[in-house]
Amino acid sequence: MKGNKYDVILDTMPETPSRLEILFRQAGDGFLQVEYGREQRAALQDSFRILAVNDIIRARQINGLIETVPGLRTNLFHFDPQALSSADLIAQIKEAEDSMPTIDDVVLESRVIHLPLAFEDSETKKAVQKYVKEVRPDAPNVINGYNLEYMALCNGVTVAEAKNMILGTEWFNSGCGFWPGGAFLWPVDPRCALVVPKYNPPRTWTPEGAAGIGGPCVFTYTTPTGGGYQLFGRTIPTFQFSCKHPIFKEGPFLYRPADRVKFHEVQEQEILDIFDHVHNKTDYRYQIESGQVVAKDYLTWVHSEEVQNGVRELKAKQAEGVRKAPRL
Amino acid sequence: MLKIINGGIEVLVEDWPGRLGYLGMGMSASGAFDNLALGFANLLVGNSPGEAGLEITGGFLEAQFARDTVIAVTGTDMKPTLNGESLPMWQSVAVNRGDTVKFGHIGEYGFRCYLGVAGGIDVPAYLGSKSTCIFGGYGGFEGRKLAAGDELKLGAPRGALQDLAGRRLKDGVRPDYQRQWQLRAIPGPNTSPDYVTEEGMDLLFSKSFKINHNSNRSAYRLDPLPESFFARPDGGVGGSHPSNILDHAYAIRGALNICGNTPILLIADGPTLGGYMCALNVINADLWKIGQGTPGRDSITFRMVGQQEATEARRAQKELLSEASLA
Amino acid sequence: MEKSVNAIMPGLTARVVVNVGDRVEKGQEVAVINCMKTEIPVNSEEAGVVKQVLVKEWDELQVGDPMVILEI
Repeated sequence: MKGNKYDVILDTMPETPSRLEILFRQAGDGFLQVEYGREQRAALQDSFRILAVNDIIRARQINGLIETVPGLRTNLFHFDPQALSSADLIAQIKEAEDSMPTIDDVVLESRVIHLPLAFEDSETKKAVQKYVKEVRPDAPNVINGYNLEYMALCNGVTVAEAKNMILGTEWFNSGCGFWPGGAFLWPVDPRCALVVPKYNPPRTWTPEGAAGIGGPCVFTYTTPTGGGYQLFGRTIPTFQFSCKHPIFKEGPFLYRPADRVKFHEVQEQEILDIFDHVHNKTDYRYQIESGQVVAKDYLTWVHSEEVQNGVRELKAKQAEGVRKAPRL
Repeated sequence: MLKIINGGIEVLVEDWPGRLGYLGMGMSASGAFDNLALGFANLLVGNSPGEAGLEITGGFLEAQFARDTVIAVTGTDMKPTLNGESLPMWQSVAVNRGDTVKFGHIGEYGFRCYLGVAGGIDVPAYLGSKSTCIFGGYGGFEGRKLAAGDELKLGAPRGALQDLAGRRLKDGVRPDYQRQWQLRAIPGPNTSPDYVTEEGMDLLFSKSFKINHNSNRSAYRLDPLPESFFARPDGGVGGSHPSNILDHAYAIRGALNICGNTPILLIADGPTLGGYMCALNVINADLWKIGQGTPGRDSITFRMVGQQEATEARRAQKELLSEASLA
Repeated sequence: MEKSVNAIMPGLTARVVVNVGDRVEKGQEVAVINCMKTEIPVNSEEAGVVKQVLVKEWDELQVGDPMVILEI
């Protein structure tokens, strides 16, 4: 690889029993991408480590470091090269990595945000109807005016089972992005890992609060916008431009990286009432608990026979579902 | 106060460096698309180079001043007039209460022009910046482009108006506008050998790419790449196309995103995160050139540089945007 | 006398909204240009009668390209 003029890997850290190889990739004159492993792998323990290291680095308040943007298996560092060299930045990241050498060290502050959810509510239904009317009249992902049956079909489960999977796990935020205040939420329990294709072509409108899933990720729409995730219902505001409600007094964002979301089912009227109490009366009390993610405990649990049996069962159903469900 | 008579095609309040620090919350920096032209306009009227001004894309703005002040117009030559008389560009000009500025269509070279006003455009800063994110509908003036009837407040000039008028730039300082824009760029994070073939990277750094007419403040779309560009048959867990990758943060402003076979420069209002690889990054000091690239007309080439040249270019640009550049 | 209504932006012709023989008032929209993922209206600067339509959907345009000829 040496001698390749397009080699962008500035430095590496070797693989250890509790961590993948780390690659420091040049990403511009003010950006550095830190990548975990050479393979595209979607594994929550990588995200736990990235976010734990991210917390350590941010706490250091390094001069010249503008911001970090953690993702599932990468972290992007945005810096001012006139104040901080990439070599110095890499040295700081290495130190932070070395300060938590084993899996026992990976403990992450992680809040649990309880969000009410109304399945197949009328507002989200409008978005699906609009899509059929204006974008794709023959959309195979719309069954009985909604996407939930298609989601179930793709995974070889019933609609009731799909709902229970959404409600039955915590959803872990590997980092915010894509849209202001948006979070990429991954199922903590792999037995609840629905996987669905995205809209093709995308929607032109989605109401605020709509909850959808694309690939394995759940997303709650922070403001009205287009979008490509399959919609299953609507939750309450998770963002507020005006910052009027006290929970938004520090900024318009509810979600932080490493948050976990737990949905519970309610009737649509409750969602509408809460919208009023968040945006107008500004007196809704969000249900948020502080907590931790302990990577070692997660790995022990996820590798247990009980969980793995469940995963195998789900994968078999999904293989069947993929065969039967129409492609988008 | 500045009263908008005709909002033209797309006129936005923008500052520089924009809304930094919120990429991790899904908010791109926005900011002036050509920060050099905005910087000179500000400098000429006595503002700090990053003060908020008007970014005029496509042309046809018409506006009336409700007070005496000093203005400067920089960027593409939209044949601006003041009360119907030709208004000189790249210098500061005194305007009186009741005067009207009017802009025509884009010039022979460049796509955006900037109106700097002594004291700047006074809109409330949102998350640390006065810039408009048109894509997300926040910041700037009510989160949108200007329209007839809007009334913009102006800040307090940083000096006596008679001292701020008649300022010019030194010879050789004014940026050179072309129809073929050479952007200096650093390869990465997704290059050869793992994501792109060496021939693919060679092509990226030699081909001239026409700017697609659909380009806007979020994304500048370029001519498609051949299949031979990719070193992988597919994107693995990331997706079926070799440009797919598991979602990662985009190094904006300046990332060249490869979306399917289409290279797309992610700029001011671009997405912060997504599932496509990024093959190079335009250096910070050359971002302004993208903003002057005219969709449907101009072309872009990339020239590979290293960190040292890029850092030096940042320093040089900062120096250029100082009082030392005034005649 | 003839007068052309010209493209005010580069881009693609989205559509022409008048036909030959139509009476056009000053300021009336005669065509639409697609640029920056936005539809940009092209209005006539003169009143007149449409004599000729020079462009069709998806035609590429540069600033100043004539789109419609009016008899004024």
